[in-house]
Amino acid sequence: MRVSRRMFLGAAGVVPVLAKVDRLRPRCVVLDLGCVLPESFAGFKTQVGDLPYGDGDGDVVIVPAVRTLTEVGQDMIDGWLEHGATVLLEYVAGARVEQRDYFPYVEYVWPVRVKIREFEPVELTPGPGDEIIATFSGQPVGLRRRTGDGVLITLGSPLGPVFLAGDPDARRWLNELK
Amino acid sequence: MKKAFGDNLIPDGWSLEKGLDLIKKTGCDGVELWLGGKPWFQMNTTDAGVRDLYRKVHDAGLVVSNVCNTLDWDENLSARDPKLQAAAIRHVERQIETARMLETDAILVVAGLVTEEIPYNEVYARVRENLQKLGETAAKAKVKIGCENCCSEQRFLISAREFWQFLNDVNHPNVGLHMDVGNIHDTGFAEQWIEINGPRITRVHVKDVLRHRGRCGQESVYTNLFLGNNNWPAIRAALDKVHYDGWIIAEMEAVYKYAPDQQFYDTAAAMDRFIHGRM
Repeated sequence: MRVSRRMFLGAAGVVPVLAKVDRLRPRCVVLDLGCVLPESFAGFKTQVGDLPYGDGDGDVVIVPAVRTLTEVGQDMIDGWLEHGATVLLEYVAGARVEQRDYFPYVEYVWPVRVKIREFEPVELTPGPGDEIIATFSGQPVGLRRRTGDGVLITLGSPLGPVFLAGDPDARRWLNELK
Repeated sequence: MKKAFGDNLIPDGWSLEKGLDLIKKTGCDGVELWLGGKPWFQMNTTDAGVRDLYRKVHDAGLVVSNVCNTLDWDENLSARDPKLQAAAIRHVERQIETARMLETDAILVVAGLVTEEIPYNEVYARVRENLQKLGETAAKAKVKIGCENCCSEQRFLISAREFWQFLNDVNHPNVGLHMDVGNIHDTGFAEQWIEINGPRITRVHVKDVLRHRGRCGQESVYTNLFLGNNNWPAIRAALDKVHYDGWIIAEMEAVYKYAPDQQFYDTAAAMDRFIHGRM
């Protein structure tokens, strides 16, 4: 996947935003690094305005619904993680989780225990240092990994569209994310 | 969660005591009483009679889960005829009174019947207004009115979102949804109803439904738990999601031609598995 100039400039523009000294304002941004699911981007945008992240909580960067990350995108994420940010990466490529009987929820165990409607989840393969934070039909679809001073959260089930459906548990989950 | 049977499932000809004894033997915690259903609980049952009913339930080692009625189909809050409407208000008020006497905090009503003569919008407005008034009565008695989703029979509030909007319009904390997971048929999915209306669910009725398997292949047919098309793991998960931890009440047609008590044992066992998620 190619990163367009608009996308790159948008992403590059985030760095100074995150570096602002105004610690009382929320420091959560939604960033298009090749989002293939407009509903997810739109959903997160409806939420970040009044999230309770403030001084001491660190920055939160949300990257909705990417299929592949370019080298530039990967470097950006690595950079934010090095600076102590929490990066929420929605990853929508890969094998869908197979289920014999339809079951509607992804079960999250962190940062809060909630059931959230699945949205075509893809199975994630945990690597060393990954903690499973969400499962669907018993398969991991959410991972958390501490990287440097930051935390990388990878979701195989897009959360953004769920906000548009008004699920209060999805909102709770995002609010608890630190 | 606690489980109960409706007293309307007690076979005709049985005494209340015999029925309560059976319900207790199945391991249930309570009984749902239907005003207008069986001889022991009618509109002309006196307060003393209701107290006697309470004593018999407790003597059997049970409690009353909630109070329903069978009268709404003949005298509904949506009736045009002022006499019928007044009769409906009277029996709902009696449900509220008896709920207090029976030490339970929920009643069930079938709110609104759309017919060829009484159109949807008229029913909507009339029921909303009556429920707002009855909600005040219920609040004083610390009782909640659960409007049952009898969607297709009522021809009213067919979808989960319609029901949600209706409760928004009634806008009374003592008026909610008595959720029947077997009444959705082909117009939706019970688990989605639960999700959308979650915090307003007062009680849950359980039965299963075989969709499109009627005699002519066109009608849904009620059946026992796990025999139909309901997605029970999804329904259980949805109740968990909305933090419903109240009564699960078997309300179904008596389908056993022989050994009718077996339906109680089989259903109680199925309810146990449902409650504990063993499906």
